Amino acid sequence: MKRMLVLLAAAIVIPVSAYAADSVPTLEGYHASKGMKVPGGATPKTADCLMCHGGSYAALAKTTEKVKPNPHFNHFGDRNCDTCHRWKEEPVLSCDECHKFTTLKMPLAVKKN
Amino acid sequence: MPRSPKNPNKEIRMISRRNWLKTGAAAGVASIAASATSTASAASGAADTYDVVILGAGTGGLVTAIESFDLGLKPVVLEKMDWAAGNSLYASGGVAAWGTEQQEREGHPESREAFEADMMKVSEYRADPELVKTYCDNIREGVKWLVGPMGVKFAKIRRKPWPLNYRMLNVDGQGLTGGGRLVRDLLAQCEKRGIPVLFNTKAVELVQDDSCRVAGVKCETEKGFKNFMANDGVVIATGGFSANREMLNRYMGGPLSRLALRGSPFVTGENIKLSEKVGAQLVHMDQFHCGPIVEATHTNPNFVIDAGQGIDVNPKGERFMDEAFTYTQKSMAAATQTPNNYAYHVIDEHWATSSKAAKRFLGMNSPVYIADTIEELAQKMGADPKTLKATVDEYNKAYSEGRLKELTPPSSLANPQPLNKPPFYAFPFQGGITATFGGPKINTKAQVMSTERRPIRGLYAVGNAAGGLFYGNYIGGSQLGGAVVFGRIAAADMASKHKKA
Repeated sequence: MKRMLVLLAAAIVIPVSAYAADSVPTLEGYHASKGMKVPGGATPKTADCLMCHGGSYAALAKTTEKVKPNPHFNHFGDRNCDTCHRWKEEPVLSCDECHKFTTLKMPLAVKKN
Repeated sequence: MPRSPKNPNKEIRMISRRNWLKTGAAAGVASIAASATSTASAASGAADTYDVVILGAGTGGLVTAIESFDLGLKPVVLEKMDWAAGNSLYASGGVAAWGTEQQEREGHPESREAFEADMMKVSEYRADPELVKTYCDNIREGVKWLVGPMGVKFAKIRRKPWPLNYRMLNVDGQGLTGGGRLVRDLLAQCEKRGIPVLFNTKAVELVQDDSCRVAGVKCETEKGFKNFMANDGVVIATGGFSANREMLNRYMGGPLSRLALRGSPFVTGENIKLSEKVGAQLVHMDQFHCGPIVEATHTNPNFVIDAGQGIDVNPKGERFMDEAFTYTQKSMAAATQTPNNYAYHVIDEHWATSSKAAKRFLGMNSPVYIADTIEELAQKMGADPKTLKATVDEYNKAYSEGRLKELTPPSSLANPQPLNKPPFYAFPFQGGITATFGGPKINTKAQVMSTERRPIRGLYAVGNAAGGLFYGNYIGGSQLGGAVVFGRIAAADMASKHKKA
């Protein structure tokens, strides 16, 4: 019950804070602003994300197969979602920690990746 | 992250997610459930017990795990990162072999004698001949195992410069690096068997029992320290120390510690740190493999500088090495003879692959300079146009007069071409470190040897974590080949000594 209340409070508070003029848009804020219920508690893990996004990692990779290179099917394996898609922070295009791809854009990215 | 110790199911779910092993969670569940009751008391020294505790989820570690399982043992793989973060993911996926079914089928009868002799030759005869022999004795079976039960697909074999010849079987990456595909395949085999692969679990110290045998590993986990005990052996499969600048500096010296990194940033020397404390004999500590890389974009121009034509110049536009150097020698020259470890391979349309290669690098947003004149090319490179023009003119003159070998430095390519067919291309490259060769010395059973040349009971090392197999250089593909061969040998040795409860 306590947990429900926390979630409820978060749902009310986050859209305001996440979209305040000087703050960074986050996945948490985005999901809350759309009124989406997210499984997995305060910070969803990969398996939680996959429940809505693709259903499985392989199916998720299929949805981005036309993107070259496919960020969800790469030589690092099936990385955890929050490697790039940070729940409470700005997204990070982890490919570009080594490479400098121009073809990949992160949802909710503020800076040019 | 807060978790209720009262709810073991929650614990299981957390770990199975991290494993990304959906069905694998089934067996992961079994072992983890067994330990879940002790979760609450983990801080007070609770431990999980397996037959085999393997450190590192790279090729060597995963091979050892699968083979141990198939021989009836109960293995666990512990990986410090939250993915299989070893060097394999960066590898092209070559496995060096002789006499495999595929080589025979495709008409490339590489002999064992020549293979073994070349392994020794490239090591300047400093590799342990017994380990080289063991590699040669077992690599055919190793490849057969990869192709068969592991389901690894290899691409058609192509001839490469000596010492590779027709010896390198390349994992067909099917859109990935061959090494990335290999790890995917091996993880899938672990999943199929329900072998637990626990991420965010970093070995910090080997645990010895009262008889001085290595009996387990103390690990850092998200919940604090935890011991993983091993009935049959602990296997160090953590790779070498190529990403540990301090260790590179200590063992190889300052300039070489500044080589660009070609592989994983997380290969940081656990092989040394763990084994040295229990008295392992460390060998070949100053040895490593050098190769080309463009550090800013992590592209690999090895096939360009290996083209067999064109010239190699420094940022001023001057030649500074014999173009007949192998890509390893060229990379080392760039690292040690240019001020900022930066050189260019200048080539023209005489090389049929020029424009295709340029397109490939530009497609990865990696710099390639293209121009119709040498002066314009120099401007794009940021070099002095007069200097580069003089270098190319001197080269072309020597070519037409048949005295390239009289240049300073000499250029002794077997089939050189002049540089006069525009457009001209300048491909940048830097010297990079692929992997270190040093580590705890192993014997032919993959047991780690002590400074007194005795096996340290209960301790094994495989892949690039182990020392003794390589020195100087290696036949491309024998790093992954060695991980397969010695991973399987370690498993077999532990299985042969396993006491049924």
